[in-house]
Amino acid sequence: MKKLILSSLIIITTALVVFYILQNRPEGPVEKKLITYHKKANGLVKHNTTKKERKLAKIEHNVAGPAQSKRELSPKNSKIDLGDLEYSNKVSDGRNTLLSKRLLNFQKVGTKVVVRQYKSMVIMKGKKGQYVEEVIISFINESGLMNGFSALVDSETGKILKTWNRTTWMIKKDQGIQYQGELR
Amino acid sequence: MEKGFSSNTLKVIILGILLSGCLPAQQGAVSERDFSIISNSPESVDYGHGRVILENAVVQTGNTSLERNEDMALYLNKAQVFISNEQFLVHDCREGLTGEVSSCLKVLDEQSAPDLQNSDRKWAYNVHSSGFYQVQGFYHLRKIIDSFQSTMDFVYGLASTSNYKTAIPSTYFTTFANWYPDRQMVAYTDCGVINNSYYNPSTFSLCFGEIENYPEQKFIFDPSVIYHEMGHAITQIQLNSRNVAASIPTRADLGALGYDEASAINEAISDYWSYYITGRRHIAEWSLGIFYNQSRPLSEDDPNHAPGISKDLDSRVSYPRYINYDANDLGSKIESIHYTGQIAAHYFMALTDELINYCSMSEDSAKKYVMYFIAETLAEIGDMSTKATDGGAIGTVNLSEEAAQVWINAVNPANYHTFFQKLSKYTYGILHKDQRCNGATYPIARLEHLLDSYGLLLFNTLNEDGNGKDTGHDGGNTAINEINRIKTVLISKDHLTVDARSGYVEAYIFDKREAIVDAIATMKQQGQITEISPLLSEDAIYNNNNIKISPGEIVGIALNLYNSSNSNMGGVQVLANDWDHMKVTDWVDDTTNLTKIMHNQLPCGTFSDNFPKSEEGGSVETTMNPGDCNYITRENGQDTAAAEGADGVLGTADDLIYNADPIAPICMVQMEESGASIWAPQWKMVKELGLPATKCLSGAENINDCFVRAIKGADQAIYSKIEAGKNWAETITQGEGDVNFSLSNLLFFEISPFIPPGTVFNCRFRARFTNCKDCYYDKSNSDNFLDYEFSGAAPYQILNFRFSVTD
Repeated sequence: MKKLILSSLIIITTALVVFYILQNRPEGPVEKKLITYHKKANGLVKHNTTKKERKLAKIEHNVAGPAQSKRELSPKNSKIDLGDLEYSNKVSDGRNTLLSKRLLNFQKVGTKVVVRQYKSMVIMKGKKGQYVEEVIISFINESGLMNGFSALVDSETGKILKTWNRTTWMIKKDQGIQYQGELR
Repeated sequence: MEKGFSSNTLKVIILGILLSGCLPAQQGAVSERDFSIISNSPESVDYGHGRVILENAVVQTGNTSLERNEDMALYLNKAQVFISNEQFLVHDCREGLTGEVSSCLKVLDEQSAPDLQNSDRKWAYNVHSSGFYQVQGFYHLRKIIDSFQSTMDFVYGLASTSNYKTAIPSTYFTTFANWYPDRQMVAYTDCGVINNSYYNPSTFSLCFGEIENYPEQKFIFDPSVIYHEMGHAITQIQLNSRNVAASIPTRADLGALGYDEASAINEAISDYWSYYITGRRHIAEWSLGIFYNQSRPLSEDDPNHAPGISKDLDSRVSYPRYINYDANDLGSKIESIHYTGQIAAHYFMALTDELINYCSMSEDSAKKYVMYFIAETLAEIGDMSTKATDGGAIGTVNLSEEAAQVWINAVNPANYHTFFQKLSKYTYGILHKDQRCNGATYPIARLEHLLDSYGLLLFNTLNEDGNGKDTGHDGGNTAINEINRIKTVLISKDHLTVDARSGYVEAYIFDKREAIVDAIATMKQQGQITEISPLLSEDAIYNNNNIKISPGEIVGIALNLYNSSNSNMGGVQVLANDWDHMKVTDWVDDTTNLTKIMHNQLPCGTFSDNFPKSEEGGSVETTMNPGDCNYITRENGQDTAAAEGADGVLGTADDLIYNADPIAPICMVQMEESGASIWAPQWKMVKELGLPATKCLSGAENINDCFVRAIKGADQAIYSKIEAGKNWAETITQGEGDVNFSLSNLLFFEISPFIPPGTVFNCRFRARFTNCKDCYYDKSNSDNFLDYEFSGAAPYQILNFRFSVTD
């Protein structure tokens, strides 16, 4: 009997471990890899976005941005030659780390953020060009709830320049804030 | 599994018959049918077909007291419906609709990663299965998408030959402005969210959740919820049609805060979409009604309404009286976009009835025309190309492409004044100028009476000439006959003040550490705010909860606003964004960088607040050149000017290019100068203290808001309503005097840790409200204020709030 219980326990534990690994395995093809930035008590850590996180963020099946072979100039200045432009910034691979640090600032420990690239552009600031990225930002809270929006960010510093595409909820409960003094 | 005719089912039928007299008006309700459970097996349907729940359970039974655990399998439609001849639940919409994506809609159950595949094309599943949720969602979403597409065919056809200036772009279809370009909508029909559903435009996805404690009960079972949520997506598409056509990379939103009137109107349009498809003037009777007591009536003849509401012209769901009105809980005073939106939704219904009754349209035609008016209005409101119509002048709406998002979200947003002025312009243009009312013209007096019965005759003209700085007063506007303004009450902005009654505070200060950190985290997650100064601690460690403003804190401020008039105010908005209230008195040439640097600046004392006077450091000069007090920036502080450089000749390579009329942060600081106290811009104190620019809240980038900075995105606050002779807290008080402040009610500020304690600041807020007589209409020009004027003082009541920074 004891052997049976022990074997059952081993099988169940193995099944749970396999299930956990499958649920949390990173995605396959390199070009589809996303990075999750996770705020922990001792700082920010990053890992390949898991299947479970993709589901929570509702980015499992969503299409990527339009096929883009080269960086576009914002349409308003479409006659400007990109090659002749002087730029106020450069494109940095570290921008998403910088952006994620900014986003997770003030968030609770345990909060995660996933940044998806949508489009790369150049916008004009005076006479200079500025490299920018349109990204889709998804927060995943420890409770499993997500929030998301679109943003235009600086390609070097990850600084957010504009945001839009706010989520609308069927049942809206605004976050309340209590006043500590007398209401007079 | 097949079941027999149960006693439970019989009870449902009997109850339904008994209660049917108490039901909300429900056109299309199935009153007598057999509620036996149907075998929904693949064998029971034809190729490409399946079964769905066509109407929610309350509509089908007429029973508004259904058991919460009622088996939804009872409500499956007996007849099969066409679902799809494809193997997967994807909808092509129509050829070429979305540009580079092959289909416009895909439906998934979040829990099952692979797409639902059905090689037999027989879409019949158990109601409590993932397959059914997806088929149910797909059927109803395809229905509303197809309806939207055919409606826009109709709209485009009429708009492209119109006599009024249409906002629908001529390239609407060729630029794929009729969808979110290059995006496939993904609808998650069982997305795992508890007690909610949502539309997320960033992922272009819909999420339908489930009901807490009733895991078998899903929002997807209520078709009106599906139509409502998809309605938000359609609104977003329509709002951005001109932006897509003009290849603007960013998008406009209808609503910027948890509570504002633009969001309320967004909800109303979604409710109208539900009616548009179902034909019923009530929404979510089952999901919101049975589980949350939150279903919403859309017409005054709904029996759920409070006593006193009727279709009589003086008994309608009017503005501002019915702001926050909850038919299910008459005592509720919670600020709610869904309930405030009912005013607009009821107006849309009344306008539909007007087209049916006066213009002899069929209900289908009337609905289409109302959607036509809405589509035009949204296209103009969201236009970041700022032309308002193809070939229009840049800046006709929303000031400039650079400033458009701020104008749409905060400075001149869609509220009940602005939205209904534009909606009326298009209503009148289409019905009267294009003679679409039964082939005849349409008298404006009828429109005025209808608007007035809803308290929405809030404007003096239809403002056909737009708000452009150069063209905004050109051409004639259709004038409103003020005699027809009977129920609508307009109030002078002077009646909005900070509560000066004895014993009342000027403002409520929120500085509790945990609450502030939570608030900042929430606003960042929603994309409302993006940056907090690196000078301030992430844990807000300087926040001390003493209800005072201290160095290093992040604080929320709610001005204690008072309505001194004898009528109710709606949609009160306080702005803390930078504006044109300082005069540049001295420039220094910077020939190295070919620009001019501001060398001296004085706060303007020429506005209605008569502050600060010249002896207090104010400028009272009334000259009218760029940079002067009485000259308002045309480009929200980005007015480029050129001056001659070292060669003394203008138009040469060494010209000095500079911003001639910069805008300034709202808070000024008290300083000592020649033994007198004066008010000065913050940068002067930076210089006086010798503080390195890197120790300013914005860093070296900007020392104008070095010590006190309104957080961008949290620099507007909205108060839904202030009753006559009361302040906002008194208006909104619940039961025991509790007041629910929400984040929308607060303006958030960063306070530098480097402020010497005792320093006094004066912040010059600008405030207005929706039913304001002189906040939108410029009597001197008999026209709307132009967009650039919203960078100045004239359209607002200026409210000064003074505080000392204390440890």
